[in-house]
Amino acid sequence: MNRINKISFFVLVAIVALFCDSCKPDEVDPPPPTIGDLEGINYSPTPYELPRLIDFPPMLIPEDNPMTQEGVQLGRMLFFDPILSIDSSMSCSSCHLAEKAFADGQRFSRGVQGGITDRSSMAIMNVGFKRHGLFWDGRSATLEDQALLPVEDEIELHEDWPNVVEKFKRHPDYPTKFRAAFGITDKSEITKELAGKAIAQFERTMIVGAGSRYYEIFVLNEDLPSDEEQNGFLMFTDGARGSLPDAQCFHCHAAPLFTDRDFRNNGLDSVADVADFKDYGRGRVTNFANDNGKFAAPTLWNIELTAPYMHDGRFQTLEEVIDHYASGGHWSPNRDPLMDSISLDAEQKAELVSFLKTLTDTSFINNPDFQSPF
Amino acid sequence: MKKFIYLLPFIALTIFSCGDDDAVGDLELNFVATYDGQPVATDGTFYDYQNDQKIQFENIRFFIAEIELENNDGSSTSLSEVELINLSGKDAVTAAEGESVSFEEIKGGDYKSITFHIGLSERLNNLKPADIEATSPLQDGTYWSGWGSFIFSTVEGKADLDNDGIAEHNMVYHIGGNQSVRPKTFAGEVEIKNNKTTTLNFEIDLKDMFMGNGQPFDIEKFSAIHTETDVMEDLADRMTEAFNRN
Repeated sequence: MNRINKISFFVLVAIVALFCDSCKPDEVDPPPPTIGDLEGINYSPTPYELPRLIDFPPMLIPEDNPMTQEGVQLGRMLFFDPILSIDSSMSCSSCHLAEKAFADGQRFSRGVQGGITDRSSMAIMNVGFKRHGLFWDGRSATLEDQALLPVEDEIELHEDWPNVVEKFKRHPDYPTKFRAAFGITDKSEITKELAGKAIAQFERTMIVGAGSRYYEIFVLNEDLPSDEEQNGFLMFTDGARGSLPDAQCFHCHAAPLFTDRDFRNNGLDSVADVADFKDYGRGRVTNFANDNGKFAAPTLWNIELTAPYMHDGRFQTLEEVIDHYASGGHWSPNRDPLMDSISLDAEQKAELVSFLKTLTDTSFINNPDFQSPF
Repeated sequence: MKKFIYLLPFIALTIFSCGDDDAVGDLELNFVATYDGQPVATDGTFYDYQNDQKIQFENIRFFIAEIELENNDGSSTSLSEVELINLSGKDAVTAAEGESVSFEEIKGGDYKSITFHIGLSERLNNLKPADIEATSPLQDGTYWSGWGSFIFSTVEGKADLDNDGIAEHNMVYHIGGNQSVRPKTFAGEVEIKNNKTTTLNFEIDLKDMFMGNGQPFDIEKFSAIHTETDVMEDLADRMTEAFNRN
């Protein structure tokens, strides 16, 4: 074609295109261009059915983060992957070891580059049932939020999320895993929020109890307790009504979760004024001075495995813990009203320990679904 | 004039569509814990008890259940089966604000009273947490399997019995069990207006609860109550008496 014919041809094409476009209904936008690099991968998430233990309450699952097999699988990978840390040396699992019921056995946990945190690592068990906040001080309202914080903590993983997300995008597997879990169409859609959702899904599956002697004896009635276990149970629950001391444990550690999920000052430190607590705990979150020195009442499931005890790991043994509670703890203006001295002899303390050990569930810590996928 | 006649059906339609049958409004119930009429701060503040003794409060929370408005024709309008009211964690300012629960789109009109159980009705209390949906306020409460009951009401605090400025005496009062529920009707018109929020204010005066019309509860003898049913029932009665609509 000569130059004039070429121009005429393009003008004609343009007019025809304009004419065709003007024939489209005004209210219908053209579909967006399909640029997703993951769209070719099948997205058909499979619902994940959480096990229901007898007497356990139903778990509250956020509507925007339904449980799926793919989400749990991704969350498990992220939980065990040191990609979340600045130098790829640590993962969530570094401070949450299976053999320690997903605590770490340290008084104060160590982060990357040798930093030491100011609290003991909390055991991850039945965390999906928590309702009043995560961490010792409840500073995260949801598991989804909680999962994000250690990554950017300067002592813990000391990474930043934009960098982690870039590592996910470059990773050979993660883009397809995020696609499978959340239906993203392009790896540019990977976010820290989706990572948090996946980790939260995995953590919700970590339900403990069914493999314990307690469950066998006191829930399924498939075995009888020893005399020591039975006496410990009665003191723990005030079931003897006078013939044995009321050890007052159940107020804060009621079955089946063995925690009331609340925050209390359990008399660890003696201070004249609530402003004098070294660690404000819950008070740092609420800015309510009377909450200073209060910490979450942890679950007692697998308590045999989660030493050392308390938010600062000050007690090495269950015997030390029971001695503390029997003493009533140290006085402070906001020591919990439930803290009072209890008269327990050595035999009764040992019986309480026997009962507490019925809460050990080794099937939980050995569950292959909770081990590293790498 | 003819034009006006043509408009009449539309005017009538407009008038009838705005009638009471379609009117809906919201209702808010506000709860404040007081001591001798003053809002109770759960921040270590001392309140005068008797004989120079002083008490302070740490946790105050309770269930109310089967919340209903009573219509003038004797029927009732259900608002909610259960709510948890938590008046803990309050300083002087937030104590005065109290805690509220709200109900939306209540049929407009005049009601003669509001009624609810202080504690849980037997129907609710016979449920177990495993049988209750995760979003229920019951799941934020405490269930005692040893009782076979939820804790209906919790009042915890401490007392300074020897007037030395130190609250060394614990007060732990947990009320529960089917025998401890107390239905109460709060008389007085409740007007629900179209597209408006009506607020009803309730007060639980803890001095009334513990001083009980000149018959003080023996906090020295009863430091912790969670199994003694007769004392628990006495406390349930006292709490019900102390509960008033302003």
